Amino acid sequence: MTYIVFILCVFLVGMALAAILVKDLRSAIILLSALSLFASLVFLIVAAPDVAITEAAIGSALTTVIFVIALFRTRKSTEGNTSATVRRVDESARAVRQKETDNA
Amino acid sequence: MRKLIGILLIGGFAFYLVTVGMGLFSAESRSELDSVGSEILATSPDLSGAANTVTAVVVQYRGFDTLGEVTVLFVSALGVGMLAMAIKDGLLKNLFDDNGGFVLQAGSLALLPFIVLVGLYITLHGHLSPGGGFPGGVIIATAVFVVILTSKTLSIPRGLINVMETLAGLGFLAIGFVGLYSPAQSFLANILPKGEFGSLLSAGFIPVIYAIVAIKVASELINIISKLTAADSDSKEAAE
Amino acid sequence: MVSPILFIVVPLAAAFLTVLVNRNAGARILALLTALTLSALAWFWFRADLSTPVSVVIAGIAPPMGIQLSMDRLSAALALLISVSGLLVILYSQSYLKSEEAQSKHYAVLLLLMAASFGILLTRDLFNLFVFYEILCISSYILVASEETKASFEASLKYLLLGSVGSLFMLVAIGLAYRVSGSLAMSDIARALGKADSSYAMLTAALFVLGMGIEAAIFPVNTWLPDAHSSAPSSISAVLSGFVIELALVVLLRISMTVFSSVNLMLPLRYMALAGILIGELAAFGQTELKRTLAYSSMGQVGLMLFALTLGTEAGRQAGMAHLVMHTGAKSVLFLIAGYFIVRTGKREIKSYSGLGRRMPLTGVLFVIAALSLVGVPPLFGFFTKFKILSAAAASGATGAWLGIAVILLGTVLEASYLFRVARTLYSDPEGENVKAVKGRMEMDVPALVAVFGFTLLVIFGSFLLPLIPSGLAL
Repeated sequence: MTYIVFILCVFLVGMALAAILVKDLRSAIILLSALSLFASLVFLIVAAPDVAITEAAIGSALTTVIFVIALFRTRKSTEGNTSATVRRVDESARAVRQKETDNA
Repeated sequence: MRKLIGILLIGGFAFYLVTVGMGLFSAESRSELDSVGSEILATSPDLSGAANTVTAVVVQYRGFDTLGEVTVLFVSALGVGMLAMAIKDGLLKNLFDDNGGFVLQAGSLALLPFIVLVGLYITLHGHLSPGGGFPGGVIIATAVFVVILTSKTLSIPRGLINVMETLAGLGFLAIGFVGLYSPAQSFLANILPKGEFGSLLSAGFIPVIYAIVAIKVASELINIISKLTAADSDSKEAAE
Repeated sequence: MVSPILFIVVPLAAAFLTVLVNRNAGARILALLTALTLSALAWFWFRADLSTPVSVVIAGIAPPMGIQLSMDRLSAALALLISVSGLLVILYSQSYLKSEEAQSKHYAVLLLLMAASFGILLTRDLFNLFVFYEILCISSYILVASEETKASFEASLKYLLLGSVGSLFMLVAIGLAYRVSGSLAMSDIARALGKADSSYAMLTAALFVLGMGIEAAIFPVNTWLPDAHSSAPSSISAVLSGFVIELALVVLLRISMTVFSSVNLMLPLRYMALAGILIGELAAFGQTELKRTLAYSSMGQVGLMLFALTLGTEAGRQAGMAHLVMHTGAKSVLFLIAGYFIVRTGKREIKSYSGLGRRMPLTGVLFVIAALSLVGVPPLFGFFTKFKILSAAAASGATGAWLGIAVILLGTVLEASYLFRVARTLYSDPEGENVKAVKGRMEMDVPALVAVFGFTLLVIFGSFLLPLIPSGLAL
């Protein structure tokens, strides 16, 4: 039993590190979600089913949803229909891209 | 380089934490730790009447913390609401460009009662089996979210959600007050009859509080999610 | 029967209700009534005989298993300070807040902030403290962001990141403490940590102080303060500078003296305090914006209080508490008036306020009185508190006391020079174009004036309160 917990814990740390190091934010969110799922498994094995249920519901379902919405929102807002600052940043980014293609 | 220094610092801190923390896990401190736990295990059936001791601790022994946790969620939901209000242009538009198609919409609506049922079960059996108001409320909120996800035209009635939220919060406080001005003279004292140990209607006010917590958690999370996806009635009105 | 628990339950209930109130006027009245009730309650407890603290137990379950709240003289005094400043600030916000939509929610968050403050003050359970600390932190982040400018969002995010790390540290410390004691009651933890290995106790104490020190704005972890306090709405700056950091400071010190009494935290904290004074006052000296100057000055003033409270003598503690009361009054006046200057002129720089003192005579006089008290000019409260701190330091013989006296005097000189610079600007250039450009009535609205006047009374007559300040920081 302890070995399973130990292996799962190694998994947990690995996923946490991967979530930090990975470049794509979407992957990071999914990794965090998986981390929560594994954590709830660990809680279940160490005889804490209450915490396991809560962790599964909140960690892997709810926070993932909220993170994804937030990510979606930031994407959408940089698509150019929003506040002046965001639009300005967006325009300058487009200008840089244009310059790069020109140079190429 | 900066990353390396960061990893080294965190690693060193973790090492220190583990060595100092583990080194002290001696037999005597362990026994002292168990004493409160076994005391709770011994007194919980009489004191709370809940078959699930974890629930007894969360609602009865540390019910005040639970009130605080509910408030943490409440203030977070308020914050999301205020921030969403601050962003006047653009972001208030609907998150989704179009509806999810007939199959998805019908499927999500068909799923809704089942997910809600699971949420209700987990909430109402909190004093008997693992679970309780927090995960139950989250599961109910997730059911609503599945519907939001597939339908662009859905409008969540914000007024109703707010009323539920307020009533749940006031209900929690009211139960506390009943305890304070009852013969027990103590805030959140469990004065309802305990019932038969292990049956659905037992453990005094614990199922009631868990139901209230589930309503509050669910309504706050629905509030947050619908605000973020602009699926609430206010955003719909503003968009028109 | 009046139970101390009402301090937490009344503002919570009002906050829950406020969400339903759509009309801003209704939310305002509800918030005002709540603050009035709280002030009355606090007055009752302040006048009550608390030579033995009044304890209440939640759900009838005694401490090792349940949660205990306790009202002692220190808590009662601070509760009075908090509820009265909350009342005055709510009175002030009536005429100050612009963003109409967010108003009712704004009041709800403010009430939650007050509930959390009382909770932190009263609880004798370490985890319960953490829960209320979380409410306090989250509501402060929201209130800072409620100015709804880019700067305030940025400041709030900075505050949030630092504060979350701090909360995490605190949680780890509570976990470590629970591990050796098996209990979350403060008295049990104190006993268990006394018996535990010294490095373990040190680790626990350091993590806790680092975590809570963020809200108390202790020197190395106070980098969020200047941004947050200067870009928040001015009424909120007054709340944050006026009682939130002071409250966190007192509770932190109470816990380090009782729960972590086996660890010698006082010496490092004293040196941190001195560094805070130096850096805060030097930075304040270099600022061009009024609210930023005041925010950095808060950083220095917190150092001053911390220095006095960590001297380890009864006189030092008394002086620190007195200075805390004085700072609440003076800084609230300064921030509230600064907010009015910003509303009237639309500018944040000190130089654009030239001549304002002549156009708004009453406001200008109140501002100067508060500034003089903050510096420590004789007939005002600030002189007595600063003098008490210096004499307590000289008499204590603690390590670093003389260094502290030198730093405090240097800080006072710096403080005097930048506050006099502001005052001179206010009374110079009567025909300046800045003032002419400002339209409308110049003097503050009546509710705002009443609020500022209330705080000014504290600054002027505070010295009569000195004998009322409770001794000791007992648990």
